[in-house]
Amino acid sequence: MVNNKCLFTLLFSLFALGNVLAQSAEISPERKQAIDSLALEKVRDLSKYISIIGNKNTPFSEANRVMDRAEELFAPESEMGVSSLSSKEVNYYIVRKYFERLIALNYDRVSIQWYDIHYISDLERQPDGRYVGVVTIYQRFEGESDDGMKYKDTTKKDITIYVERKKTQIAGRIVEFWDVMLGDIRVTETSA
Amino acid sequence: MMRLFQSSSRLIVLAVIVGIMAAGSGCKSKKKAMEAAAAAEKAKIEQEAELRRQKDEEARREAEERAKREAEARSKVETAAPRERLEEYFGAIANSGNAASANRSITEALTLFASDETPVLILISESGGIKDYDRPTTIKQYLEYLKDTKKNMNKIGNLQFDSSGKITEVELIK
Repeated sequence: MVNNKCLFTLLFSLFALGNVLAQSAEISPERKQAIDSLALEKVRDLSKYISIIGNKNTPFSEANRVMDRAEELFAPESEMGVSSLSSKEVNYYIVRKYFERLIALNYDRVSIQWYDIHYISDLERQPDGRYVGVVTIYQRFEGESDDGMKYKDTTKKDITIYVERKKTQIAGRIVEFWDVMLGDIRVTETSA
Repeated sequence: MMRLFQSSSRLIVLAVIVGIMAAGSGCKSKKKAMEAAAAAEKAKIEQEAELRRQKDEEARREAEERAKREAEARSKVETAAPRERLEEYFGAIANSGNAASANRSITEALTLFASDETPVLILISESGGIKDYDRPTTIKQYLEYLKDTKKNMNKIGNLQFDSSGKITEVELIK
């Protein structure tokens, strides 16, 4: 019985020590703040890209180029949620498919604006070393056709953010960088 | 009369001898003078040659220093000019009123680079000797990024050049 107690105490101590070491492996507040800002900037970049892709005045070749850039912001297989005022259902599409649908929208004028972009869950270090957080945005969509058809809505969306330390080789030397990747974008509210 | 003639002859012979001796002595001093003059001339030539050599050496040193100064100044211009031009292009692309104008600036800016694929590193923070970068990109993609997002917030840090003065690597500072 005494031996079991000793073993338990030892295991608990090792677990606690492991936690302490994991904490110490975390980065300084200054570096963390830089990464937080970098991730928010990626979301703002996506908002610009979506606005360009959706804009009916954007030439197709330009829209395609911007789609490539926008797609690079996401982790593979990430999905975008799409909702409407006419249905309670939210459809999810692989981001590339979502961009292609955006270009093909049956309006003559489309305006998409993101605003109030902020963290609702700070980037936290995971056991695998990655940082994961959630950013919320509000999207104002306005579509208008020459025949008078109009549609407007505001959608609140949550974006999962992944940040990972990676290495690459540039001009023969190793460069370490923070790779920010956007994950799924979930619709949480839709209103007029 | 005879005695007068004899004493006159002696006088003449004596005069001739004195004359010869004087002439001999005059030749010797003239030779010495010529030798002295030649030595002086030689010394003067040598001195002039030494002065010329010193002047040439000084001129060579000055030319070398001038060439070095000019090379340094040229190098300074070569490295400063692309940086200033790049800053101007970044601003022109980000603030461009239309896509055509932005594309023109992008095409011009790309001539400063060794390749469209020239790597661009964006430093997001530096503390305790650790540099944190954003995901590396290429100059073409970065210029297009400026056009798409219309924001030019990064400062130009280090630029690397190849032997022909083209930029081979860019470090930007957020």
